[in-house]
Amino acid sequence: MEQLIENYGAVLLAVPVGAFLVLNAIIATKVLAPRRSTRLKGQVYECGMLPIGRNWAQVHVRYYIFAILFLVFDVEIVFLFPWAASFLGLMDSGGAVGPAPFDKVILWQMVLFILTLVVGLAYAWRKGVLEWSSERVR
Amino acid sequence: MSDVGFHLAFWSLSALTIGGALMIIVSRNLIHAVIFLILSFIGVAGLFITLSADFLALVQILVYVGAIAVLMLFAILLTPRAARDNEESLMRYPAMILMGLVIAAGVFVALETDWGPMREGAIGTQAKIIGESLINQYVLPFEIGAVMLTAALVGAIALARQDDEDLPIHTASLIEEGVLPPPDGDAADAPAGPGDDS
Repeated sequence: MEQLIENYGAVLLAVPVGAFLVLNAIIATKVLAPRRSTRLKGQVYECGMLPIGRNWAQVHVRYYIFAILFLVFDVEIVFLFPWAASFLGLMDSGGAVGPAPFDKVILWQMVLFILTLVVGLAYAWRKGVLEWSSERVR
Repeated sequence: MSDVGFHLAFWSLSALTIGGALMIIVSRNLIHAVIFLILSFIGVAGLFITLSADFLALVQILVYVGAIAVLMLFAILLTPRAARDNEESLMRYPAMILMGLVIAAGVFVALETDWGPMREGAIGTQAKIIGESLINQYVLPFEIGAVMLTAALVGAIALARQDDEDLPIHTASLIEEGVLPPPDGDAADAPAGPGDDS
C-alpha cells in the first residue's frame, strides 16, 4: 500500500490538477470569449474546397485489416514483454525449466511463438493486404 | 494519508469506469459510444493499478485503448451510414442474455482460478512473475495463444478481404447504392465519396 502511494502518488496529484487546468480553459473560453458565428467561420477548411456530402464517409476495409494486424502484434508484445523481463533471471539461474539440455528452452519457446505469428504475417503478405496501392485491393 | 488517497483513487476511478459504461449505453452516436468506452477502459486500468497490478494496467491501455478501440472505430466507419446510430433493436434481449452469461462465466473463472502466483507480486515485479509462469507452468497455453492469434489474423483477412474477381461486381453494387460516385474519370478513385448533398 505504501509502495503504491509512493509510485502513483504523483499520478493521484496530477490527475485532478490536469482536469482542473483543462476545465478551467474550457469554462473560461465559454465565459470570456465573444461568439459571433458566421457562415464563413463554420466551414471545415478555411481555404480549400467546400466539402461535399455528409460527414460520414465509408472507409475502405483495408483500414480494418491493418487495425487487426496491429492488434495481433500488439498482443504479441504483451506476451513478449513479461518473457523478456524474466528471461535474464532464468538464464542466470541455469534455467528454471530444467537441467542443461533444457536451458535454451526458454529461448525456443519464444522463437516458436513468434514463428507461429510470422505464419500469419506471411499469409497476410501473400494475400496482398499489406499493399496500399488502390490498384490491387480496390 | 495514504488511506485517503487510496479511497479517493478507488472511488473516482470506479465512478469513471461506471459512468463511462453508462454513457456508452445512453449515447446515440456510435463514435461517441467508443470514446466513452475508451474512458471506461482507462478507468479499469486505473483500478488495476490500485490493485497493484501495474503490468495489467499497462496491457489494458496498450491493447484495449490502443488497438481494440481503434478497431471498433474502423468497424463503425466501415458500416454503411444508415446503421451508425445506436438504434433500438430486437437483438437487445438476446444481447442482454448473452452478456449475462459472459458475466457469469467471468465471475465463475475469477472465483475458481488459483491466483497464487499473483499474490506474491509487489508493484513493479508483475511482468517478471507473469513471464516466469508463462515459461514454466503455462507453456502450452502460451503457444496455443500464438496459434489462436494467427488463426484470428488469417480468419479476419479471409473474411474481410474480397477476392479480385468479385471486385467489379462489388464496386457496381456500391455505385448503385450511391455509396460510390459513378465512374467519371478521377472520381472513381475515391474509395468513399457519398453522392448526396448534406
